[in-house]
Amino acid sequence: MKTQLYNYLLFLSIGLLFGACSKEKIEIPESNNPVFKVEGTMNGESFSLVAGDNDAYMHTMTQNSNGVNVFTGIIDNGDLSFELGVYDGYLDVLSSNSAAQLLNVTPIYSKRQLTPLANLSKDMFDNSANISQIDWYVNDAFMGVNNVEIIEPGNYNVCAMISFMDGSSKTLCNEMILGYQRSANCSINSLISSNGFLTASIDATGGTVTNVEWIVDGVQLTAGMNVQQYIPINSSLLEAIVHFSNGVVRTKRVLVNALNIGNNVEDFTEAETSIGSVINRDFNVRLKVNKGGIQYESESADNSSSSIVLTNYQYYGKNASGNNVYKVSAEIIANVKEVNGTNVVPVSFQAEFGIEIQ
Amino acid sequence: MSWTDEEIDKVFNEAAGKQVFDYKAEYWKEMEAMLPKEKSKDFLWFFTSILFVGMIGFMPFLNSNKSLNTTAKLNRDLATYNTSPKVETVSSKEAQNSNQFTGNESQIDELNKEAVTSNAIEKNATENGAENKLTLNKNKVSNNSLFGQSELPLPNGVEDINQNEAKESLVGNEHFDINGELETLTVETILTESSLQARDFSFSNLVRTSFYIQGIAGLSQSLITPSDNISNNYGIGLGVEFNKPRISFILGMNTLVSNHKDLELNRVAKVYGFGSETFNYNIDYKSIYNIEGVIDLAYNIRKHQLRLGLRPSYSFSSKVRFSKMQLDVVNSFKNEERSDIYGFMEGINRIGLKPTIGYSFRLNNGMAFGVNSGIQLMKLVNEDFINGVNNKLPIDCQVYLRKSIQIRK
Repeated sequence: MKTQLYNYLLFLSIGLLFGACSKEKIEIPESNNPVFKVEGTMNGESFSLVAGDNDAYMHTMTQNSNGVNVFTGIIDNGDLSFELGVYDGYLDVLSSNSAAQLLNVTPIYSKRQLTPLANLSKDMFDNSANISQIDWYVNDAFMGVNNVEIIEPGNYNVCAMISFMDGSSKTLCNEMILGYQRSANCSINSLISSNGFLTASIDATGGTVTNVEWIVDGVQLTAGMNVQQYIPINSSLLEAIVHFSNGVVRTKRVLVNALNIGNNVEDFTEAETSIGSVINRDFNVRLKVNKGGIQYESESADNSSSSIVLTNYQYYGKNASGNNVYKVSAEIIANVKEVNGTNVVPVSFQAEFGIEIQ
Repeated sequence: MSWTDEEIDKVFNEAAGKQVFDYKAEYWKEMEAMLPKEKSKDFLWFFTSILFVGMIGFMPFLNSNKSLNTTAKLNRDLATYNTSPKVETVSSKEAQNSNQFTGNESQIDELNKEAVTSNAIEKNATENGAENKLTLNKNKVSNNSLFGQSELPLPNGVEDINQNEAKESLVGNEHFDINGELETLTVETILTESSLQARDFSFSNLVRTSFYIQGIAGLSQSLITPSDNISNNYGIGLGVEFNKPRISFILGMNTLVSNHKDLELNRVAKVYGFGSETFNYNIDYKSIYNIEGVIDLAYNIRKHQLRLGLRPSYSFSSKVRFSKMQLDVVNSFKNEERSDIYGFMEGINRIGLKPTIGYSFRLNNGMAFGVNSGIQLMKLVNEDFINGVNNKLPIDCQVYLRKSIQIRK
């Protein structure tokens, strides 16, 4: 009897212990208010898009425009969509924090550039007489022979495939930042003798150079503001990674040829400033609207009297791609022009927009 | 060398003669000031002492009544047996027995002097080492071996002792569970020692203790309203009974499973984000597992017992049918999950308290069948997690089958 009693009490205690201690949790989310929405008028006709209602969804992504990130959000229900994009800025600053800098700038609408920002020509080189032809590639896309123009702002990787008169050919690539602010810039001055003695220095503008890494055909030389040393006489590519005190890092490249001095090719990034960029697209805003299959964009319209006011700006979370999304509250008044037409439509709306910012 | 008494006395007398005590009134005033002025706390001690003494004193008094009642018939039988060499088996009715003895008080008093509780009888029997046994059949009482007699004659005037009547007369209390042992109750001492005296008034003799185990099943009004559903419950219980002739005190614990059909929570949540997700939750409390304390006070009338009690309870676990349907309209995504979850208690208030009234009827072999009805005083449902509101004072009813187990010393 005692044994039975003890067993019963033991069973009871264990049951009570497990029952009392094991607490299952069922998390039931609470309904909340819509997070992202746009509400306003387009050409006098009111509209409202609420992400989560009526098949509307807030898509966020980072688009690329000529090598520049465009932090973008698109709210779309299939019939009507609004796309808000913010161009990245301070492209030459490696440690640039786009999200933080967006708070400190007054957003303006970007404008489509109609005139060239850079002219690339065979004649811009001192030894153009020794060059028979240059094939220009911009971001791996063939742009033309000898003379090309770059109109749109962007961060380009420009390559010149140079054919010399002696039949040899070399390729020289450089980064060119056009239509965006350059916080510092520089060019390489280089000279090489027939015995391979290299003399090179940096000609800097807009910033103080703190360090230069010199590399010849992938081999690191002694770091310093300049270099004077023998290099193999068959060397061809001299590269300088220039660090400025304001955080700017630029990489410049030239072709050197000890065996044929006439085949030296200087840094063509001077073309960045040859015209003198009149616009800076840093952190500009672009607006695109798709209504009933007709596309409109703000860059083609005159928005000199339009406004965009950021009323709030906060981190929201991560999107499906795992990237940071910021919720931007804005009051937008703009004109958008039909992409394949001439119709210009005014839009005015308040937006709670999600924008991915990396 | 040791001091003699005279020497020690002399030393004390000399020392006492030298000491001078001056009486000063201030000494007495100081002493008075040191004495406690109020004795309020003494009342508690006084009350507690009186209560304790009263309880101790009252118990034998109750027991003496019990002894009279419980052993009266046995005494009568024994007395009659002692004075009558032979009694034939006759039919037995309680009224007849009573009539036979109520008219002879002196005989009863005489018998009471010789009376003992069944416990004492058994004890003495054991002490004597006798193996003689009284076998109580439906129609006769026999001694199989005492003094070589194969059958003992019944007392005068007792024609028959019904088995149940015999039990009652022997133990005087329906809850002195001697079932099973009754047929082999050793009473040789009754037969051999005609001058037994009730001498053992220890607590264990005043209050008989037995354990019980029981199976329970019941129905209950819904815990929520509005609802037409009735929940059912079942379980087992274990406890102990402290029995006096008329009064029993029962302490025990039941483990119960209550099954419900209407304890549900339906919740729809639309959560906005980049799009929206609609969650349809359904939480259905299927079962709740309880520990229930049993605190009963019972009044015994022969085989019948009326009970008043309290049932404090603690819900320690639950079985929940959980289903979740997630809809993402934009992405045409649908996900549905169903599972049984144990231990989800957010919808249940764990503590309950239920006063009960009950009735039980004693069957043979220590079995008893009873019914309890109670009203739940506590709100057992967390209305935030259950559709509906708490039903005020839901009534439940339980039946049980109980087996009492007498613990031998």
